[in-house]
Amino acid sequence: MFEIKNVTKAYGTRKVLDNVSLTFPTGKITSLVGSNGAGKSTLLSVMARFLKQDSGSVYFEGKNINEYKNSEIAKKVATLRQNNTINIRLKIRELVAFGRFPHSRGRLNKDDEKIIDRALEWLSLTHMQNKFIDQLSGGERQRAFIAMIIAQDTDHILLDEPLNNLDMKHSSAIMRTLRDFVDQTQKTIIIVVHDINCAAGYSEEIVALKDGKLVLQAPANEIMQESVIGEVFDVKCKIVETGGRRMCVYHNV
Amino acid sequence: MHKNEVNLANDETSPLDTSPNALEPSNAGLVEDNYKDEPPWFKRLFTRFKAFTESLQKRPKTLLILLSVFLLILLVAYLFYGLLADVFDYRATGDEFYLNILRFSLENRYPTIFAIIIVAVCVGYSTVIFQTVTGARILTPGVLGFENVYMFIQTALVFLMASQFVGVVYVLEGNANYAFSVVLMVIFSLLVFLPLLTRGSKGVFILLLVGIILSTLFASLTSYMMLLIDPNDFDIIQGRMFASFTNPNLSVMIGATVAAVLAILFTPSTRVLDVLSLGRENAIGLGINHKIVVLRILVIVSILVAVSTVLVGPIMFLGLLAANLAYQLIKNFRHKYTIPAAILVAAIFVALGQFLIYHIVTMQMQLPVIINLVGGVYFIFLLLRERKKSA
Repeated sequence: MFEIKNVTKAYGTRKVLDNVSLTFPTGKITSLVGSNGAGKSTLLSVMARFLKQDSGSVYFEGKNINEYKNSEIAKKVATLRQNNTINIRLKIRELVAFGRFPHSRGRLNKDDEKIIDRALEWLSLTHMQNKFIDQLSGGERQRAFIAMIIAQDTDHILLDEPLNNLDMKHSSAIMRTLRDFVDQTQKTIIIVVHDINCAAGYSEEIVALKDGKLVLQAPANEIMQESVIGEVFDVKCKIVETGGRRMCVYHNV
Repeated sequence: MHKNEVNLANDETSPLDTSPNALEPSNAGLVEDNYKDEPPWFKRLFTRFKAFTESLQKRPKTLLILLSVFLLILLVAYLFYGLLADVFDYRATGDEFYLNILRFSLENRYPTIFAIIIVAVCVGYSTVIFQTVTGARILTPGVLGFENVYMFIQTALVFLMASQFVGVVYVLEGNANYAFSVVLMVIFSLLVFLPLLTRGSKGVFILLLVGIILSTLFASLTSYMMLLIDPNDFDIIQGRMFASFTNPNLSVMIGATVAAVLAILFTPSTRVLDVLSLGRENAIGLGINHKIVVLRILVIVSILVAVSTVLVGPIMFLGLLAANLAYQLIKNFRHKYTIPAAILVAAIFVALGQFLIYHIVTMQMQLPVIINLVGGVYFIFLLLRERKKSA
């Protein structure tokens, strides 16, 4: 369980995170939403120890994350960052196998191989596991990286905009996979997404940030109101209900 | 998702697969027509060679063994070139004279073999791990001008001390001077490397900029001091400046070897290096203490660079040449293959060049000139290729 307490992070004089405190639920998908520069990715980076906050602390399972050894916390939290570019040439399976590093320190045993097989299956990559990463399309590459994160086999997974640059088909397929994954394994996923409809459609909980401040933490269906979304994103929008689900229309309203 | 799978599975076979039987005969005819008259012998040789190298890339171990055998042959050839006649003459006549020639020549030549091996290990090893940390393949410690720092230290030592305290310079000979220089170089490199520690691969540009500016600064300070210095004192510097493979700095050989071996023993395992090549964030996510590991690697790199510079003087482009040729040969990202490959390529390159200089053109040229000429051309080629890639 992640607990954020009074975390502040500033670049120069601009506060990207301003005294943020919240607790993330476990066993669910939680979406971090907000407009560009609201501090979503920064918050995730602080939780993943990529960035150091200026003040405040992050607790994981009751213990400050700085008190964990890196090798220890890598068995409990897996993080996928934004924009994965790798300048070495490796195959999908070799990339996914890196996910086992925290457990096996690079010496794979039979159990590791099985977990890699399963991760490849989850992301439907089994038939192309020997393709090189640099030959893949954007969607396939993203799936390969998510497979690596799943192979890490941690209870908590942090994903920073995994849907970046993906079309409708691929982003919905990835979200569907994550949804099924959480339903079956009861793991915790915290994900940064841009599209409010995507967040509402697939996650239980939504955390909204604006100008570095926490403005809302609520179950997904509660956020889908014109006044709430209007305030969080600074847009005019209309909520329509179709098939028992609320959708937000914000283009050309 | 499922549809997608089916499509992709089909993509792997040829798109012409719709009616394979109908196409096959005409295809076969075409091929036969083309090759009715025999292809020229060099073309056949080339295709066979290509198939051979491609099959080797799937077996990196075999490739490494082949490279080692080639290196061994080169080194033996270097040692015994032109001496076989003496061996036969000695056996035929039993005259001690021939034996003495043999002994004298070998004594002259074996330090070179030693130097080639140590320098190749230092340069190959340090370049590969440095490039893994920086994530940039056209960057090497040599290009950043580490050697200039070494020359600066040597010149400054003589400049500051020779005029007043002649004794100090002689105390600072050999291993003491060497240890002193290594410590200073490590401190310098850590200062330059600092941005890498905190910013990961984003720090590379700052590193490059700071490195180039500082190395130019040190180079001009060095030449300024050389101008002011007493000609007798300048002799001492010159001795250190023109250390070479033919005439390596033997007094520090043992210290150098020990330092290099210790440094290499202290590096993280090749499996950790593999993870580092995924970039800073991925490495942290996979449980690596990035800051500590990178700091360790940078200290090791600076020790290794210092060792090779002290032994044979600056060879700017050797690391770049060795590492990149090794990547191209091995086509495998694992450090357990790329590091030995880079070491072997570096050794082969130096051994070839040294053979050429010592035996063929008989010291009419200097080895760094050849290596920097070839390496420089290769560097430009790499730059052009990178630009093409990003365009």
